[in-house]
Amino acid sequence: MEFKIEKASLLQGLYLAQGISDRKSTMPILANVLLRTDGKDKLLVAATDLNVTVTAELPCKVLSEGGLTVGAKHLHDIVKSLPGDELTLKRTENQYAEIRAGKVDYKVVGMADRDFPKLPNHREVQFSKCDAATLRDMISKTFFSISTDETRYHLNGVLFESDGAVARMVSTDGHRLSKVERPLEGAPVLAQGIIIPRKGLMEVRRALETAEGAVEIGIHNGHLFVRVGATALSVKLIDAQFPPYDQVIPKENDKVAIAPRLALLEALKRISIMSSDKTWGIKLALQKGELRVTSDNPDLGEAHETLDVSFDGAPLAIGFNAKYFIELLGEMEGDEVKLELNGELDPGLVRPADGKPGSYVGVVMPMRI
Amino acid sequence: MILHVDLDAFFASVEQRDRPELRGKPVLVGGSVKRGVVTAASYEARPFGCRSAMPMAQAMKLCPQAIVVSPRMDAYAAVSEKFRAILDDYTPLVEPISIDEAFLDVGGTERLHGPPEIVAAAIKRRVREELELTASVGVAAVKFVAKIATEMGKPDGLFVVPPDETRTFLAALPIERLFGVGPKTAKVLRDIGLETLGQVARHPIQALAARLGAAHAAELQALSRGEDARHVEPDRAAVSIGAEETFEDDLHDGPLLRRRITAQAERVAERLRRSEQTAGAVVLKLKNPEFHIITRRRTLPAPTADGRMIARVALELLEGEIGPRGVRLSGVSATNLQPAGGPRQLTLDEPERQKGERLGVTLDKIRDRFGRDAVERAELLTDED
Repeated sequence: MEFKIEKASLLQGLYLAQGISDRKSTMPILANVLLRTDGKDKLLVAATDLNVTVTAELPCKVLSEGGLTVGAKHLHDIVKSLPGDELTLKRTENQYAEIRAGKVDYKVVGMADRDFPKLPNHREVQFSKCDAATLRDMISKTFFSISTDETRYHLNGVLFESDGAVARMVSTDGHRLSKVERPLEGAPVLAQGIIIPRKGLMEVRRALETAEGAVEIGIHNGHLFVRVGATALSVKLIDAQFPPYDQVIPKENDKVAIAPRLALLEALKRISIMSSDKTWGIKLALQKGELRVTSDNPDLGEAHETLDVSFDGAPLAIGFNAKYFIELLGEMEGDEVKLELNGELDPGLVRPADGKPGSYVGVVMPMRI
Repeated sequence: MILHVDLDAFFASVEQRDRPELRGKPVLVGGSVKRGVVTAASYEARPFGCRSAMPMAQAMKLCPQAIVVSPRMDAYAAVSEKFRAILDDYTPLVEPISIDEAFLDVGGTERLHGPPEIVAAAIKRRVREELELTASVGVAAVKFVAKIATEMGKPDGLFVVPPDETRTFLAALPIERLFGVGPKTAKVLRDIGLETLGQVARHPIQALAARLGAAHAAELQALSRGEDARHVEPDRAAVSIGAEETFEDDLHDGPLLRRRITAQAERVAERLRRSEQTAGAVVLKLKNPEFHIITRRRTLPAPTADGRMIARVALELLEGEIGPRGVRLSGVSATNLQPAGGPRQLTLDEPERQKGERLGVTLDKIRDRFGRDAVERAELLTDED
C-alpha cells in the first residue's frame, strides 16, 4: 500500500479519528486509525471505540492498493508537524508505515488492517437531510447538563425526539434539566425518543464544526448515522428509558422576574469567585425591582451584587449552584431572561424572555444552604 | 488528664438488666449456635474461657450451660446514647471509640467538676443509678495508658495512674499490652529477650529499628515510655453505619438473600435517621463459604436516609457477585456520612426522595411507641409471619 495525499486533507480526517480512538481499551488496535485505499484516488480513514465510529473518504493519489492501521494520536501529531503540503505513506514489511515529506521520513510501528473491527455499513441506512447549524445549536444547548455519573446509564446522553418537522433535545444530570425545541425539517420521524450518548454527541458536534448547510442523519439498528460531506459517523445509542422529563418542568412557578441576561451572567461569574469550588453555592434574593446575588463563604469571605430587574412579587431568597445558571445563560440568546421561581426548595426555571414558550428552558434545583 | 470509660460486658449486662432471670448466670450474646460468633460474654461466662469474637460453637463447648441471647442492637444503641449524654455533662472533649467506650479529656474542668478521680467516681455512680450498669474507668496522663488502666480495674473498676508513675506502671507490663503489638511483633521482641515494656523502653533504639523498621520501633519505644501525643478528638464521629449478618445456612442469589439485604438496608437507614445523618455512599459486603470477603461501594447521586433507596443500590451492587457456592454473610453499610438537614444540592426527584424519608421517620415513630415488630415492610415479611 502506498499513497500520496495533501497534508491538510489527511489532518482533517485524523483530527476526528484521534478523538474517537480509544487508548485505554484492552484491545490495542482501537488506539489505531485504519488507513485503506479505495480505487485509484480515495483513502478511507476510520477510527472506532466500538460505540462511536468515524469514517472519512479523502482524495489522494493511490500508488498501490492495501491497508494498514497506525496509532491515531502519533499519526496525527506527526502529520501536523510535517513540512510542506504533501506527504506519502507506504506500508513496508512487518506492518511499518513509512511516512515521507520533503527531507523528513518516519517509520512508525503499525498493525495489520484485517484485525481492525468491521465498519458499520452505511448503505442500508435511510438518510434524510436537515440543517447542520440548527442541530449544532441544539447540541450545545443541552450538552452541558448530561450526567457523567456512569451508574446512571440512562442519563449519560441526550434524549432526541423528532416528528420530522420539530425536533427536541433534553438532558439532565438529576440536579438540572435542559430542553430545547427547534423546527428541524427533514429530521427522521421517530415513534419514540432515542438517547445519544455523550461521547458520540461530542464527536457529532466536532464533525458539524465544519459543516455548512445540510447534514444527513439516519437511524438504523440501534445506531445514529451522521454524514457531513465525506465524513460519516455512527454512534451506538443508549438502550434505556429516559425519565419522563415533562413532569419535572414546573408549570406554576408564579414568582417571575425579568433580568438582563448578560448582566446577570457577569454578576454570577463575579460573585461565584467567592463561593466554594465544590458546590458553587450562591444565593439569589428577589424583592421588588431588585435581584441580589450573594456569596457567603466562611473560608473565603463574602460578595454581593445588586441588579435592577422587573419583579413585583413577594420577597424570596433561594440558594443555587451558580455554575448551573452560568452555563444556561451562556447558551441563551436575547437581551433578557425570565426567571420563574416558587419556594426555596422548589425547582427554578430559566428561559429567554422573548422566546416562544418551550423553545429553550432550563430547570435548576435549588441548593439547601 | 484523660479518662477512659468502658461499660462492663455491655451487651450481656443490658440483657441481664432487662431480663432478671439471666442475672448471675453465664450469658452469651451473639448469633446462632451453629456458626455465629460471641459478641459479648457475661462475667459469669468468662471463667469458662468464653470471650467475645469467639465462635459460638466453641464458647458453648467451653460452657454448655450458658444461655444464648440474640443481640438487640437497637436497645444497646439507646443505652449507648444515654451513656454518651452522661459523659457529655463533664466535658465537651468526649471521643467515642465504640458503642460502649469513650475517652474524655478532663484537663481544665477541675474547678467545675473536681479532680479527675472525683469525675471518674461520679460517672461510675451515674451509670449505676441511671443505666443500672457498671462502668470501669481508667485515669492517666495519656490515652493508651488510660485504656490499659481501665482493663486493670475491670469489672466495676476505677484505676488511676498518676502522671509521675506512668513509667513505673508501664515498665512491669508484658509487651502484648501495647497498642500495635500483635503476635508477630511480640515474637520479634521476645526473640531479642524483651518481655516487658520497661525492657522495650530501655533497649537501644537502633537495635529495635533493625528488627522492626525505624518508624515502628520509634513508636513502640515512645509508647512504652508513656509518650502518646494523640489528643482526644471529640469530632471523630462514626465513619460508617452498618448492619451485617452471618446466615444459618449459606444463601444463594435469590429472594431469600435479597430480602436479608433489604432488611439490613432498612436497619441502616433507621440508624441513620436516629443519628440525624444521611448516607453519601453505600457499601455491600459479602463473605463466601471460604471466608473470602468482597466489598462493593457506590456513591449515591444525593445523600439519603431512605431504606428503599439504600436497598436498591445494595441490590444493584449484588449483581453478578454471588459465586456458585453462595454466601455465608452479607452486610450493608452507609459511609461518607453527612448530617441530615445540612447544605446540599437538591435533586429533581426530590418529592419522591423526601416521601421515602418521611415514611421511614413514621415507621421509626410507630416502632418507638408500639415495639419493634409493630410494623414492617410487606416485602420483608416471610411466610411464617
